Amino acid sequence: MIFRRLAIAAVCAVLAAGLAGCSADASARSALSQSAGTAASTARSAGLVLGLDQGDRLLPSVMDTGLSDAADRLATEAQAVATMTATGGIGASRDRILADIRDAQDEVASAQRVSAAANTSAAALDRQRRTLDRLAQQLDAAAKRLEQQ
Amino acid sequence: MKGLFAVALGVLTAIGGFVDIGDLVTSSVVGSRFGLTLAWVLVLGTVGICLFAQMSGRVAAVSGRATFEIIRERLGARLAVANLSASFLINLLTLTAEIGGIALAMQLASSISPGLWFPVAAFAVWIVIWRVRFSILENVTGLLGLALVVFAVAVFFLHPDWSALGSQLLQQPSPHTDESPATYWYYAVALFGAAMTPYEVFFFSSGAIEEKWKPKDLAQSRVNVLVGFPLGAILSLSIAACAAIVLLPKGIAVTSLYETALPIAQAFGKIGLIVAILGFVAATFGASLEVTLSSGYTLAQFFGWPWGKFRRPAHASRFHAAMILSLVVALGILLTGVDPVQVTEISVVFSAIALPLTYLPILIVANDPKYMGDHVNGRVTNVVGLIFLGIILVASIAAIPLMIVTGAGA
Amino acid sequence: MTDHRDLPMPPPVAGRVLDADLDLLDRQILDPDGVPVSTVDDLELTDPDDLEHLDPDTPPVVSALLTGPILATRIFGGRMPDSRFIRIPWKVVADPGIVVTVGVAADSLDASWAERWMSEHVIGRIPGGRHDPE
Repeated sequence: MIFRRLAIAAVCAVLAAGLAGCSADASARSALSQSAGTAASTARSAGLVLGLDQGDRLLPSVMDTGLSDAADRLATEAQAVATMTATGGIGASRDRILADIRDAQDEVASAQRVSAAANTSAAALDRQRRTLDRLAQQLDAAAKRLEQQ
Repeated sequence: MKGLFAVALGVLTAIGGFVDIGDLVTSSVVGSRFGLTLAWVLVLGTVGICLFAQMSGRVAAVSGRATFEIIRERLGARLAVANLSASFLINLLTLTAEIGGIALAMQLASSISPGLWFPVAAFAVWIVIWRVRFSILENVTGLLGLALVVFAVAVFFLHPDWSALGSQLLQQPSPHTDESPATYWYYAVALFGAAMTPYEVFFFSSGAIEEKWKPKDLAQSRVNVLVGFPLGAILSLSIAACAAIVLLPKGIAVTSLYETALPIAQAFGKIGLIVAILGFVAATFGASLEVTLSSGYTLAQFFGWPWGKFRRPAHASRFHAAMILSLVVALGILLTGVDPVQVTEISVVFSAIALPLTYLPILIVANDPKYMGDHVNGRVTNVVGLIFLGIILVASIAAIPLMIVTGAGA
Repeated sequence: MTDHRDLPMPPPVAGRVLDADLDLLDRQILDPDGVPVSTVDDLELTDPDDLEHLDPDTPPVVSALLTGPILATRIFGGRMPDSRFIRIPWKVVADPGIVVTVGVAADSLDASWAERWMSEHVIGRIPGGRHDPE
């Protein structure tokens, strides 16, 4: 009798732990997807700033504000992703996303350096814009894949 | 001719004064993530604020007493204290957001970090309240706020796909949005709170007494509200539309003030940006003045202190002390390093939560024949007012669950 | 408490019947120049000898309007010591209407002490505080 009760309790405990683990997985997955999405939006935003600057439509102060805000936001997302625990097989995705965010941070930082330089290189800014757009696309794709799993 | 000028001034001031940092941020976030599918909320909120601002202006002009005084007398000390506490705390939160907004706008103008602008902005707000006459304060910031018309003009210069915009207005979801329904409704509540901010009503009714309105000024007040506020709402709608046209297709979700200005850069380049930034500074500065004064008004009217900008500061000392304290607290919160945009988003949602507590007393007071004599609410006004109270209640109750479920709209 | 038919008749002296709660409490108090003094936060009544069986011929009489910290005890409960009351004696009340008007200047009353203190020692000391706004 008691063994049957114990067995049932054990099965319930395993199921509960499994479900809790699953939902922890799900929430970790959605948090990662969220961060990837935000980073993608930020990268595109920085890309738009660079594109508008190429068309000479931006005030220097707005460009500075835009790039520094983008840098701050990417840093926040990088921090969030780096401290996420890699449960449920999202470890590989997490590492890829973190690498992409770090690349985006590098691009924004070099865009800030280029625009602050005495003679701004239009070609360099254009390269950075295209890289940022590409990284944004990769991050978005990663976010969607995580959502669908 | 002078009458026409006064009317024009009133309307223009209302337009420019309608938009504050909450409207700027929320409209642009909503436009970039949901297109124009939430425009109906803006319309609803504008009707609501027109209704209640009109009521409170009428109460002040007819009875000669400001709304909060009457709230305490009619509803009793306990309910009025609850109302006061909620209103004051929300005001403080809104003030923090507005002063943060001034700093963000100044950053866009100067590249100087907002952290350095916070104390400058708070001091500037204080010095204007301390020394500048009420009517000048109102008119200058209201008129400069009209610079935001650049957003309305930009909508046309951006060559939008009109049929796409139209279908968004009529609710067909845009192919770019993959937001959940809960997030949609969360932002509906936020936009509603941004349009119906409580401080507007207290400011409007106390302002009526500052400018010594009498029943004969009621027609003027009606025009100011019914023409000015909706035109102001069109500015908010334009900001949302610009975001919907430029940012939504690119998948850029607005989280900073500079993104709100990017569509203007695309449409008009540097000149447009200068105008837009001027509009941002005027709107946030004007709103800061109004919210600070509102904090002073609500406290002073509840406790029976002498109040009003028409009195010199030494004759309304606790009123001014309360405002100085509010500015200091708001500055303190900003100096802890919070993101002003996030404070703004929280303040509009909490405004929505507090709406029933702030609007129900106005409806009650506007119906009181002892104060209003013959000018009590007509039946139509009361019916619409009650319907709105229902909507406000629903929004208020839904706000916190939606905030939790969506993680504050992430 | 008592049957409504047993309420005392109005006093034989010419006057008005006011409801203390509706007409007095939470009203603004203004002085003859329209300067706000305070709100009526509470009322002080004279103490009859026997609180259980009130004598209709010598009812409790409003002796003063109270203001200030007494509001906290009115909202949350409890009672302050009498000596800490901030009183506006009933005899200075000129007209209890939509607002309660008193017959003396606001500055001469104890109740406006906090306002005067703040004015002289804080606000008055900040440059520009004593000037009209321009």
